[in-house]
Amino acid sequence: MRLGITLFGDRVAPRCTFAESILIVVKDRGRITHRETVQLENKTIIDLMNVLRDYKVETLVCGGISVMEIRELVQSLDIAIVDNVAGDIDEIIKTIKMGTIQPGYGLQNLGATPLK
Amino acid sequence: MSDFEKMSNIIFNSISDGVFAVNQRRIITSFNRSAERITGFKASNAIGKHCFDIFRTEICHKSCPLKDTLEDHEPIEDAHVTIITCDGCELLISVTTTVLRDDDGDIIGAVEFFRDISEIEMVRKRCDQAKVLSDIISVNTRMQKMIELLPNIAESECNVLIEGPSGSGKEVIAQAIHNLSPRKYGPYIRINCAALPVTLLESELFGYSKGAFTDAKRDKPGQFCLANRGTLLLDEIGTMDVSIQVKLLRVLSSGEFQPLGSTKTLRTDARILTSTNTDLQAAIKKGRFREDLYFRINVVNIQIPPLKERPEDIPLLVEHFMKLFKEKFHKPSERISPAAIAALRKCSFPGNVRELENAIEHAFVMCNNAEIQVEHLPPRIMEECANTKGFVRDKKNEKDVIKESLVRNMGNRTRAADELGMHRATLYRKIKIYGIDIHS
Repeated sequence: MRLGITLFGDRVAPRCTFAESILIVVKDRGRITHRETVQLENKTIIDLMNVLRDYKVETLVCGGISVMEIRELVQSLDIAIVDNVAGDIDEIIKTIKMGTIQPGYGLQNLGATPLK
Repeated sequence: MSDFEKMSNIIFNSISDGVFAVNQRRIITSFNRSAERITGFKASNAIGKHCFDIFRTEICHKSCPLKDTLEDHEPIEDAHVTIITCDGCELLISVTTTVLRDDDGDIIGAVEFFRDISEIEMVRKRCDQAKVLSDIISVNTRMQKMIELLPNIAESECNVLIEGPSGSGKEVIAQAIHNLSPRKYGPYIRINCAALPVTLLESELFGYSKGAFTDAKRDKPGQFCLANRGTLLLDEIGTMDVSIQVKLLRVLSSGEFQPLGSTKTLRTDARILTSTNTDLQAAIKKGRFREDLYFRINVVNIQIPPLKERPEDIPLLVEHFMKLFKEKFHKPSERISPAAIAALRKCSFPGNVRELENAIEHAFVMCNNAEIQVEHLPPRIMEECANTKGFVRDKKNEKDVIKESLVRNMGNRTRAADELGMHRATLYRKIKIYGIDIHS
């Protein structure tokens, strides 16, 4: 499975459309077999869309993504969205490896439990 | 908990503004009930989290008021930001921040007060609506009827075809539809179909994939993609090649399109407005325009009359352009003489409002006095004016022109007659003939 995680520094970007970079990770049988950071040069929606498409991302892991922004555009590329995720990248990678990443991860009241 | 602490807690939770405090690492340390109500997050979940993970504004990590206050120790008042609430909605809030100090005066964090200003924003929207409509300058009855309908047209998602001669203001109407619509925060893109050759227009509209042609070194998104959640105006649609019309029809029917050289189908949620200065019905008969596309784009039809059919708008438009050029040229010209207005009224303006704008710009360049005179107008207009009898080019517009002049001169017939370039007795006679009630 190929995932894209929108980042700001070493944390998930609070808002999908204001990310500095995307971390592309490939997960195969519980292991991360590839990890690559792609900078978003102009930090625009088009930049983000191009990276998601060029890197054939299947799942986007991100922070807040408003209805008015790019949710439908991302979904039109057949990309699943795991949104409302908060936390630093190492924590998120561990959760992805465990297969427990879900919308709201890092924000308890959305039904997820932060990693201890 | 002491009585004092209990009371402090009651007061904290009774404040109608959202209030929360952070430590120096921007981790939330307290979160009142109004903050819960506005953001949708429970205090028990928000406390211990970074404020940016909870609020998710467009300026988190960049020019965050709370971060700036912690760094500069200066309060920030009434900054406007949009947050994403717990349920994924965008909300506009007003933010005020200040530092928190302990008993020794050392900074231990910062506090932020915020309030939902979406209702105020709604009122502002109504004012904006009035302002947008005020950008369309006209007292013409036909135009007024159209202007009245614009908010409804804008609110709906239907396709609109704007018809009118070149320079009559089709783009102003399209921009107004976008600005009045729920898509106003999305992009507004205009493409002149007549300005680009077929292949270029196709790649501009639909985009292309890397390798689609020699120069396609990387993917380029098309305007349909860029206009997602916004509005795309296809200007001069009548000149569009039939091969592109087929693809456009697909976009209008299903929102789907394929970039050049790509096998992937993309979707767009762009609202498509079209405009033309040609007779599309005639183009259909000649096989140059697809009938099915015509019916698809022509759900709502807006007709803009040429300027020669609404000479009563000329003085208002002149006044508008005078204001614009006065700022641009920094010249002493402040007004235009009644004779010059009368001359402009006699002109046929084949180039419509754009030609009138150019004429006023020309006059500003030529005039170094406070008042623009007939001789400052372009020679073509002076010549046409000299060859036109009466005070208006077309007699059927006489009544509207007289009414407009009387309204603008507050019923003063002497001033109106002077401006219209006629004797006062002639004006009295025409008022009687047309049954104009000067008191209304």
